Amino acid sequence: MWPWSRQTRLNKTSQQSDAQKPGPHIKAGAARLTHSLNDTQSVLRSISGVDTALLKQLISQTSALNQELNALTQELNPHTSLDQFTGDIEAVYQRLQSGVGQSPDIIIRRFLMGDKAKIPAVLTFVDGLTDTQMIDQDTIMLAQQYDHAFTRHHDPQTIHQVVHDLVTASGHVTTETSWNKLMVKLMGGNTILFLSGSSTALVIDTVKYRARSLTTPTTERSVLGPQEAFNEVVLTQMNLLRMRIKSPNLRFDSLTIGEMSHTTVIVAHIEGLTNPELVAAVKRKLSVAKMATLNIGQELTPLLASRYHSLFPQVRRTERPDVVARELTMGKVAILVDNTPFAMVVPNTLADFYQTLEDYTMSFWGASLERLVRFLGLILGLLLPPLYIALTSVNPELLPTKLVITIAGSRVGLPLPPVMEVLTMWAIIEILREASLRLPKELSNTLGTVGAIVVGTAIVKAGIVSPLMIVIITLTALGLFTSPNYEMATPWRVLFWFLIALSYLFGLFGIILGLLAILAHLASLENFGVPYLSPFGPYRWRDLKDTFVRFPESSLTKRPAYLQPLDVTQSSHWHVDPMPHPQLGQAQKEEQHG
Amino acid sequence: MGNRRRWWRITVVAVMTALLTWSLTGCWDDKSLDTRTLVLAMGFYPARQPGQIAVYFAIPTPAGLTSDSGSSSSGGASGPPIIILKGVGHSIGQAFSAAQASTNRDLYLGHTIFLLFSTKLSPKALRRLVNALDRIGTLDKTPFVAATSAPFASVMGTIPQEHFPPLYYEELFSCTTCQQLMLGVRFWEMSDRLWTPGVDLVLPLLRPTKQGPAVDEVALYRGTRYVMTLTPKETAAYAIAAGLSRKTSIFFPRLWDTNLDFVADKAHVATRIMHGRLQATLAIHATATLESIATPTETAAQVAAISQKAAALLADQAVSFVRLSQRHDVDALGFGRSLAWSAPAIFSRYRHWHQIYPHLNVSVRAAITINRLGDVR
Repeated sequence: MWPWSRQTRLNKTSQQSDAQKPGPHIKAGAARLTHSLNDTQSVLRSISGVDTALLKQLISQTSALNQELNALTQELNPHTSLDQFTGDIEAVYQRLQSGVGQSPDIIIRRFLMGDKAKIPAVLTFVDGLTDTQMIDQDTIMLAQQYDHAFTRHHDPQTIHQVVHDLVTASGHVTTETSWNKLMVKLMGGNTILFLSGSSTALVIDTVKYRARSLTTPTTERSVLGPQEAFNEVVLTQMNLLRMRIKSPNLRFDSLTIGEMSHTTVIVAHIEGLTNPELVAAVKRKLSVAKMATLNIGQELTPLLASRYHSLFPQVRRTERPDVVARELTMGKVAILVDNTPFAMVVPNTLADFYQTLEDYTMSFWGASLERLVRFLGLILGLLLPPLYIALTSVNPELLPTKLVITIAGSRVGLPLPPVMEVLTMWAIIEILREASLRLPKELSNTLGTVGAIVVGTAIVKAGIVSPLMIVIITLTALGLFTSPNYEMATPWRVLFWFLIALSYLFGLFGIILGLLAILAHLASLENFGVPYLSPFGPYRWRDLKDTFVRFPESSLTKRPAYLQPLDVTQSSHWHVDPMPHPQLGQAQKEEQHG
Repeated sequence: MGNRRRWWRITVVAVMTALLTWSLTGCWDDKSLDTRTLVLAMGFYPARQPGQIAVYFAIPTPAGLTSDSGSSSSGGASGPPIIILKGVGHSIGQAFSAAQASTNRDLYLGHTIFLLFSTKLSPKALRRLVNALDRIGTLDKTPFVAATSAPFASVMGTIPQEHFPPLYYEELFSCTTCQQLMLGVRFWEMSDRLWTPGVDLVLPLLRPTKQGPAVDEVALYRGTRYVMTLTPKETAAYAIAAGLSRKTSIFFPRLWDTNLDFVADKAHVATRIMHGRLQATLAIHATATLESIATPTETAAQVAAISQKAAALLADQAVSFVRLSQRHDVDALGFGRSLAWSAPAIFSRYRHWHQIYPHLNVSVRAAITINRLGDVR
């Protein structure tokens, strides 16, 4: 490795940071290294007849390294740690300039506090992540003008306290002494204020993210429900939940995951309702996350799923704050991840993935019908093509004669066997689906419609597949996507192939074997101690009222038993009707007579 | 070590499961529908060569299939909807092989819905045929069966109401409200009657006419021997006695011009030993609708009189059929079977039930319930 490469430099810096108390030999070593670097620079400048661009890059790198080392040697003191801020404002400035200050978005500002006291200070922040108005007006301007406090307090070690208490007008100000922690906070959008003589720096909350505005949900649409979805900012996500649950018991426990990304992860739960064991288990699982970066919340799924390799999703992701709020009030735990507009909810059962908030915005008749339609769609989508293959290839004797004649008539002259017919059509459907996902929205609609009509008609006319197959595949494609949760469509699409293979090999017997295997797998799944098939297995009548069908609200007074919440009762006054027959006419009469 | 053992166990379980699945299916000789020729009907006739039988197979043609389904991928085709293959042999297997030689696809009996037996078949040939058909695994035991004295081709001649004639017969016999007399017999019922002592076989007889097939007669068998064909009137009496009458109309011109419609009846046969003698009872209970009467309203006395008269008529019809069947020694109603069920020890004493049946003392009881409101079906 090139001895002055960036990697080497980082390694060296990291090693230096790790050492809490460097020995006196470090200063001498650093001086020798600086000398050596200067020699190298002069040698490199004298070289000719080589790639000048490369040379310029090498020179600039070594110059930057030189500056950084110079700043370090200035600050080095045998009695202090490199990670600790010493109060030497010039050294801080040099260190910032030669380090993070080389990045154009890092602003480093030197100024004097107080008109008379003139205390040197350095202020640094990330341009674009901070509210510059807060920095200009509430910090710098006040610090420059406010003199009274500085003249009364001379102790440099407590000057940060004076600024904190009397000068800065920002709402949230903390202190920090560790250089590494300060850098993390700086990158998070905070403004760092170093004061000469004080070994404690002030961290002023001036965070102002460029956040996407709140839009309507795109993956979980609702007709009558709220039309609001999360955005990428975790603070906004918390606000949206707080708007819906105004109880002080709503807790947001913060974690930071990602050694490089330092992503904020929030574990949301309701104290006094959610089982504390569940909350502790979620936190324990998240605490073992060791990853360099956490870009999207999905990366945490392996930690939260008890059987990660299972096809079936165990973590429900939703972009709807109303869904998260409802799940929280049921006794579940939500995980919010910064930069991810989808919240994750645990634990889940299979039935949870077939419920939407829309179900609760309509009468229980409509909701029950919709849920039954979803399950019917799933059964149709999953079983129609395998049944077609089994009944035409293996067990035709099980079909009614009239239907056999119809099928046989539609298959006259077809070159492909039923299984190849299904595979061909399904491949076309998958290609159309994938293409419509990638294309712009306007084009994808057109492609979907045109593709389905043109390809469907053409392929029948060409004599490759039968018209019956078009009907079957259309029903399948629609049926498999009736799940309100997008994630739940994937396992069925994969298992579809499994059942196709079984039906081709073993007919109806194979389909039944496959379904039994799927059922056995579902029965074996468990997420945070909650059986995946709850409340069907183990059977709980009370919770069945909100599964395949939705009973009236008056009968849904208890929270799901499988979640084992601390407070089981959800609503207890449904049976009380304080005014069953209001006497509207009486008030009218009194008004007329009075 | 533990890990290796675990993997070994998983492998063994997976291999065993796969082998068991493979060996248990029994699906390996199944073929796709595309490679099969559906045999919709079979006809059994005596061949010209003595001791041989001729088997006819009615199969739909591609033209018939495409025009029936109304949706073909290969475009329309013209031609007859069905063709008939013929095979002759000493056994049904030989005849089947002979017919198979004339087609390039597998003759598939899984969707055979109609079996036709010639009345000219010898008892021995019929017994062998039924026995063989009983043993064919792919053949469903639910096809309807019928007898005929006409050639197979004429019975299977195109019927205006249905593209495929076997489907016409299948629908006709399976529809309870589509026929006056419920004469349909399924193959398992035929087999049951042939092998059960104390009851004889009755098959509907198909008679092709210019207007289409006529199904108003039945063929009576004693054992596997064809005995006679009942006239339409005798067939109606048989249907009343057997509880198979559905859309019958009775007119009493001398009793207030009364018209009773839609008689549906149930019949119950019981044979027992009373005072040391065999005594058989045939109980008929019918329901009818009073369609019309000369008086504006009917009185209870009128309804009772009509009911009495109608019951007497039904009883007369039943008695006439019982006497006819006794005369020809054909126990079509199963008096012997009833005795075998109620008193098997006594029944087993009679070596030949057919020697007993003509002399059996049968009493017939009939009752009719008249609904005054219309119950048109």
